Amino acid sequence: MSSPSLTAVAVVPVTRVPVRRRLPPSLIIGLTILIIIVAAAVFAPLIAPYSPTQQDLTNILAGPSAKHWLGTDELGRDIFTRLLYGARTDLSVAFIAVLSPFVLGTCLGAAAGYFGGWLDSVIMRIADVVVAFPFYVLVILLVFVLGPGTRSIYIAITVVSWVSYARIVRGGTLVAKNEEYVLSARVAGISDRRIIFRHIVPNVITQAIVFAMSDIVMDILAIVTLGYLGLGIPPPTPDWGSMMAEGQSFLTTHWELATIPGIAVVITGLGLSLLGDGLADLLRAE
Amino acid sequence: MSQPVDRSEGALLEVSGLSVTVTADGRPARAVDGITLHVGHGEAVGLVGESGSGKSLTLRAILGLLPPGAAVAGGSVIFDGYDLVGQGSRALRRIRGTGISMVFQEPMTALNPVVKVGDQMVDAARKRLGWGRAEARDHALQLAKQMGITEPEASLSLYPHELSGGLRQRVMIAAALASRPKLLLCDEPTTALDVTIQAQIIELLARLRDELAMSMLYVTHDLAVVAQLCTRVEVMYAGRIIERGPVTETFAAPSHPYTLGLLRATPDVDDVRAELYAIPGSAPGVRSRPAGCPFHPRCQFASTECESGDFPLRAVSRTQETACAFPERIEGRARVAPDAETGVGT
Amino acid sequence: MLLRYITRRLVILVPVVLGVTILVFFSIHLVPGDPARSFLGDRATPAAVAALHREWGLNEPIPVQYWLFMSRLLHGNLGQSLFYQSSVAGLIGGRLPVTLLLLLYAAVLSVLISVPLAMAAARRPDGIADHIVRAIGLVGIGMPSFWVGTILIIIFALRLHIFAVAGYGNGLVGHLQSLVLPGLTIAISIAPMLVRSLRASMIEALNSDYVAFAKAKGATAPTVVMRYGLRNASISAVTILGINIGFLVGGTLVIENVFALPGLGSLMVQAILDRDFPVVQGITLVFAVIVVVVYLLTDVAYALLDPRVRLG
Repeated sequence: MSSPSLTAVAVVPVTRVPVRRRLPPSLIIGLTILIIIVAAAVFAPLIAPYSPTQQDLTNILAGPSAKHWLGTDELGRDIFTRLLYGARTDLSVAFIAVLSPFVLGTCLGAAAGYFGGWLDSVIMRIADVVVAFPFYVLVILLVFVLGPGTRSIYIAITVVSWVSYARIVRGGTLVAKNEEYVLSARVAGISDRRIIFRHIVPNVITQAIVFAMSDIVMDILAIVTLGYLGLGIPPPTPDWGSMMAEGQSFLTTHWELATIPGIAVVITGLGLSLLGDGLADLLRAE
Repeated sequence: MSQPVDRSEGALLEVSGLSVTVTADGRPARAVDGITLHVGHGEAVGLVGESGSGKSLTLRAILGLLPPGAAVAGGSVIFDGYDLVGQGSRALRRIRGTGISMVFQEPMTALNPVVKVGDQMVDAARKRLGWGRAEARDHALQLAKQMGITEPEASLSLYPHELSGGLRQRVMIAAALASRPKLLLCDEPTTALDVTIQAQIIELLARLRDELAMSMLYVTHDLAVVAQLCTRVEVMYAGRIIERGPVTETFAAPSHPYTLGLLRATPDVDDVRAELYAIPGSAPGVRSRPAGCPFHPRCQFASTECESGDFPLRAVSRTQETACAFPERIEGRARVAPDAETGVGT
Repeated sequence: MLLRYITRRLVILVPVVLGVTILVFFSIHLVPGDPARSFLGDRATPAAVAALHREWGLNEPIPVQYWLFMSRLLHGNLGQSLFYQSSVAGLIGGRLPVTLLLLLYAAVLSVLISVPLAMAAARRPDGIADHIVRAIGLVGIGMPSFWVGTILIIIFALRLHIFAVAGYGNGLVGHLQSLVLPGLTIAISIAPMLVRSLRASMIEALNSDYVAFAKAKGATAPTVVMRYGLRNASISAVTILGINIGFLVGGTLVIENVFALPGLGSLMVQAILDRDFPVVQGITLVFAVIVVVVYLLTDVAYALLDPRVRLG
């Protein structure tokens, strides 16, 4: 911890280093689950026994067997393989999709909180407008208008999700603005931009990161739901959502087609939520 | 071991060796460390100390109302011959309100903001004694008048935030007394009030004490209030009782440097130009209690003997006890014979 | 007094509604290339394209377009569907009741599910019930709503034959029956979020000084304590439910598709597949307005429940 002084140009950001001897169990379990799933997604080409698009029309809708651990779908494709590749698609899109709302929201929130005044009002008003739309409605509208494809998904999610980050960061900035190390930095004449990025943001960002964990879950759900509705990642790229949509026609006989990918989503969500909770616990130790 | 003096047989409330641990971040600490005190029938006892001394926790422990993270770690609380420690909430509920009741410091948070004041005053009593609506209303009006609440009919249908601080406090006291408890625990009820209102509330409490022959255990850091309301005083520091005795004697001639410091720190209305005195340093946190006498780092009379060892309460007169080993160092005190058993004071 | 409060809230909401219309209006300009051609697709004859350009004022400067859009809107005109021979407003009007009814179902069911769970958890934090509830929450957050719907269909419709697999049913009773599974699905999907917030506010209420004081003065049965805790917590519960309305509405969108219900949500998805922009635009607007109205109602309810809110 530094003591602020007038001459100190290098006022050290008072980043709260967690002093915890034991990591919260939720963090460990969540991280483990996540590592397994991410590894499965990353190494899918190596692990998967088949290609995700390889059809075998002589062996459709087969149940689990030694050759096909989870059976085959209506076109004879190996479900386990498609599951792995679906993880690859959905997770990569979700992880990337969370970045730009994070950055955009953080910047806008910090600016709104720090400068206040009309900038704050404008940004918050825009936020209110965005929030007035139900999440899926706005995402779907934007994906529709911008055309199919992952680029539209990224843009749509960015437009809709930045608000939460902005509000969190704005709140933290409002508090941090009045703390001593910021006041003394301002007295020392350090530029606003530097203050925001070197001093305020590092302290506030932790809350945003914890939120990002649950936001990734939301994004995965959004991508999967879009896929289910036929508005998401275009075929033939395997995607858990479209897998479940295709399986919908076989509910009476082969309900596993529509349900197994959902289990994958749930487990991923569980891992991320545990990780988020664990992080929150860890960072709360002050 | 010292013999506690003035043990009144058949006391209404007997607290023996009560300890309360507080857990923060997984590490427990003893906030209240083996307290022993008693309150007799119709007696008003003051429990004095700075914030952090554990006095509020003591009160809460008596009623089993400790906040999350705090728990009784030992000792007994005997009320009317019945040990309250370790009792389930159902058993405690029978005592609360009718046997023991409590008044909190901040009425704004202690009163339910969304329930009318009149309802809050009598709802507990009403449920217990089976009053009908009209009966409850009558009782509420009666209580209000007894508490000196002006315009009772109008006031009772207001919400807490619509009342002044003094009125809110009267409402809280009324609510606490609605079931006619034998013992009233007071947790600094006047600290949050203006001085003039404070005086009124204290007057009210004194009146109730006399009219209802009610026992009181009054927690505060304000010695002047204790002087007005109480007959005996217990002084608490760092989770322990470090001095006790009758109010007049103790305040006239304290036997512990801490009590002396508290007395000195009380502003003297008559001597306006005297410097305000403050005990140097600050009270230790729950985890940073010093070894030996807990007060020694701030004590002007301390010596090396004070830095280690045990300092239990012992008698310095027929009615007073102190935990200080060298009360004679406080000017004007007669020298006390060293304790033969423990060797303290040699 | 109440009227003044409502008016004040309305005034604050006006810029939001304006912003909503701007966003919805502007979305057409996000289309890469010529929107008219893009939406007409195969039917994009030069004449049709020109007609659309005229109707939508695409040749005018943007502020003029917006003015056209708004003036039409204020007359209740949401445009003409590109696919059906009908006005957008007409289409929406036909489907709106279904969606509203589903919303109502979902809202009621979510309260019925979430409140008891939150209460069970809050009564004894870190107790068994609490851990179970929190575990359910962690698992539940990752459940796609349509997946929940599918599972409910499998269990209740296909195996147990209690409900129909899909569709809206006939007559009022049929309608009400057909909405049970969909409403339940939505309720289950948002339960994790609701329970988390409700639990937190209930714990706060139960740990408050006024509950401690209530106990101290001898509140006899848990009922008095619960009544205190509940009454206060229900105030924040109303707010929590209101805030989450966005998720409820979004839920209807997806679920209507799972259960083939003739509501706004399924119309929207269908319109997207048909590239029927005016319909999509109109439905988006309606959804946003529903959310804003619910926000207003929540504020009013809060003001009515909490005597501390001054209505002046």
